[in-house]
Amino acid sequence: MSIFSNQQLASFLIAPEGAVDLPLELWAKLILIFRESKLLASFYHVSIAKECFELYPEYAQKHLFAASIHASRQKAQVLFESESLRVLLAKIDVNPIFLKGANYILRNSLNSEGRIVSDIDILVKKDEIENVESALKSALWQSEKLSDYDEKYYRNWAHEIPPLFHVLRETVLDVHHNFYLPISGRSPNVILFSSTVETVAGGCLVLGKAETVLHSIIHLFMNEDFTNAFRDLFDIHLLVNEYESSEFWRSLEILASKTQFEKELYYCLVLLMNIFGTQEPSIFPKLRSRYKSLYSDFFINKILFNGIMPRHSLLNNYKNSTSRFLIFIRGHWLKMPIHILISHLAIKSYKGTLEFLFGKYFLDEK
Amino acid sequence: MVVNTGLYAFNVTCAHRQITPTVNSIYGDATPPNTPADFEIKVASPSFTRRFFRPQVSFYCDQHSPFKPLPLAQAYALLEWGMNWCIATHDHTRLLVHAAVLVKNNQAIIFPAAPGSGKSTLTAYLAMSGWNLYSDEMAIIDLESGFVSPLYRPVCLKNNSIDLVKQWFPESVFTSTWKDTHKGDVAHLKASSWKQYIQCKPTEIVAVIFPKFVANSDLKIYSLDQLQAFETLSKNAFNYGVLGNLGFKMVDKIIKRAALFEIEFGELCDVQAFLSEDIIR
Repeated sequence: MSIFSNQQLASFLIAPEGAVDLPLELWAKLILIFRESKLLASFYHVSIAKECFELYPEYAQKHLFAASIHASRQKAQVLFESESLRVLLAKIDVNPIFLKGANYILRNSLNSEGRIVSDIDILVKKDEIENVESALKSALWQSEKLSDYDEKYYRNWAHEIPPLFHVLRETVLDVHHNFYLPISGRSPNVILFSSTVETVAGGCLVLGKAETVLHSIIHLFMNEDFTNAFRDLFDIHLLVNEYESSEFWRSLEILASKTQFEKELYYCLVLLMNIFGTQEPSIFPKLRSRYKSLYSDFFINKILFNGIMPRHSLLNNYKNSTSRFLIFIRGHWLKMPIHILISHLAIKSYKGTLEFLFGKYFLDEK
Repeated sequence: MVVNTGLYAFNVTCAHRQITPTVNSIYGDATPPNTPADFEIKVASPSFTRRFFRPQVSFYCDQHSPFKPLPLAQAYALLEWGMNWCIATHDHTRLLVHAAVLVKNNQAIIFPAAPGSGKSTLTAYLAMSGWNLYSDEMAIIDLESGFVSPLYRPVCLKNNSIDLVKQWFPESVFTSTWKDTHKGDVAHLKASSWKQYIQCKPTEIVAVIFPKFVANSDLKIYSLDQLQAFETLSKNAFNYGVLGNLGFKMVDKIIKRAALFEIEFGELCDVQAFLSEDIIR
């Protein structure tokens, strides 16, 4: 049994006043779960916004506050790095579009309050990639040494180049030319996203509102890794609440239809309503009539619902782990054609087996 | 098993059998905390095979292991280092400086120093000579008052200083010596009791002293200017980068109020005389 359900965890985030009377033992567990799911600083900010932080026990306040300081520092770092990248790439006439965490922070959306950002993601045109990579590499951005196999994975199949890191500041940078792996046959036409970009104060480019939300949906529902899925769904909840208008929903619907991610949009809306109590949008009935089926009901309500629960030993049970395993298989299935997938999994599981037997660092170069 | 270090409590959920008696000998006299633990930690084998085949242990903070595994024999040292890591990477409500802190007459001196500077030997010596031990490893500084708080932890001694301290203070309580760690041979000294610890209150920093042991050297005292002290102190603060402006302001406040020295010493009694006569009022 998990000590909290998805809905209970969500309720602390949307109605943080509900945590005021929580016994300290449960506070300790909630803090561990939210820290692990990268939501502790977000929790601090929602409790400040709803004016209940001061009512929390001192034990909880100190952990939430400490997390918020770390997140504020990350926010400042992201703003600094984005501006530096914009200036650096402007020299080669490239204006990158900032995605995900950096996008939220730059556009200062509600979900950026306390948002933990593990790397900075930018999108550039595919024919600019080579120039961008060499400009970055001559400005203290480097990539880790990858195995020949991983190098080939990125260069031939992926929608991004191997991650770069800044030699002095250790910031990690992902340079994308698409939102999803071209090898899958499902990568969207990037122009549909890049034609509606917004310029934020300072001059950085970010995706438009509907484009931001659809990218978050693609990232969440096409991914094989659900580690941060609960946080990612909370992001989308806050974004759609903030940008909600009939025009926003219409743009989102049209974009999802043009890029063939309508089904993922449907999955997302069902989960948002089930878990975060998001209000049903006007576009929902049409999507439901098109995508509701026995299979999709089962997939959303059992597999996705259980798999999205934060990954923590206090919540883990066989349902979550089975669901995450199925999502892992499905994520890979979507990513690559079967003949490439089989060899990919064979290579990865061989390495995985060695690490399982002899410890995580067994394959590291001495 | 709960380890109470005063400011932070650790719930050690799965400790290797081997380290339980050591934990009890160091922390056993502390009162259990009246709130839940701040950190869930364990020291356990990184994989099933590594329980038997060249046994190793990893430190885990909740779900994750921040370091590479170490040989089983170093499990207790790994636990202590892991606890430092937990504090340094999570408590951003205070400025955390890699420094020893010793207090006399309600006046705190902090000793930031690089490994090999003789900081821990000096700490052990002063702590066993009537000074209040606030920390061997970390100065925990309140961001409003600028006062430094005590932490209930042992002193981590390395290599030759282990035997020296045992000779000087034959009654001292030591853990076993953990051989061949990345810091050489290591042993932990219990230099204060819980009863002494709870008498210690947050205290004003009156001096920042950068010590350096030089064999057979006379005591040499160099006055530092504020800029040098700022640079060295901020470099030694674990969370200076995270705190940003808050950290900058606090380091600034400390160097403007405290006496600033660098000392070279060959004999610990000279240092003690200098501190007691010229620094502490």
